[in-house]
Amino acid sequence: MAKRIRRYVRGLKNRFFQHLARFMPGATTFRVWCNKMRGIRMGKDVWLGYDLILETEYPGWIWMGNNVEINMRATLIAHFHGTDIEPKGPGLEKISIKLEDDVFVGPGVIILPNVVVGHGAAIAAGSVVTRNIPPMTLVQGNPAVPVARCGIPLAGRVNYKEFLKKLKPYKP
Amino acid sequence: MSAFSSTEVRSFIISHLAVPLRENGIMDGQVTDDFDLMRKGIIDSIGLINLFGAIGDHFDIEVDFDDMDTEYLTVVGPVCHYIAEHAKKRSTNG
Repeated sequence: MAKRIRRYVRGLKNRFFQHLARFMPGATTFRVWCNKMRGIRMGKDVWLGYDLILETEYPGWIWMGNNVEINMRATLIAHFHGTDIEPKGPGLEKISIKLEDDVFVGPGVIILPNVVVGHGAAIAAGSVVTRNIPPMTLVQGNPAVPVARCGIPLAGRVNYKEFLKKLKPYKP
Repeated sequence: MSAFSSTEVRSFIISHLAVPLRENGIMDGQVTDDFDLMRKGIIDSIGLINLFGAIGDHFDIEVDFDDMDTEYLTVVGPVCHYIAEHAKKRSTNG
């Protein structure tokens, strides 16, 4: 019984901070703090947009590096019943979604469990990420597929046209 | 790789984008030098990459836009001019 109550209280705290983070201002400050309180591990200079859903039940299964940017209404789903978690590196045994440094997540993106998004990668708006994304790659679609190689990362408020200028068409 | 004119690049762009141009009711003659493909809603960022890739394949060149003014990256005239000049320089340098 005590275990159930503890679990319920933990869930309540998780949801409380989740809802605060979704709607309160503070993309680099308050929202980041709320999600850290929920157990998400983050580096420096993370930018979190409005109304994000960063895993409901197991936020601790998400890991973000430095200078990650996640835009409005993106959804990160770190668990699904019956899904085994593949370790994402030493100390990251229970990490389901790993966003490396300088990753840009566009508005409305959905990222599914067991995914590593490589450093400097960019995910176009509305894409559904079902598998790993190589570093410095622009992906798009459902399921998201590589469409270009990035010359510079888009995360960190980089000029959009400057980013476009340095893209190279993807040739596997 | 041989040199080609900006007019040839423009013709290719118009043929490559024939469908979205037609869907938006834009005639070839309306694609002027200051026609901004992105601002007019003809292409998005992915379309731009595809367009540049198609130009590269068609003219057998690899263009990098490092020296181009970012402001004009999606404007027809400057893009055609830049690509033609780029090819000419490459051709001259062997």
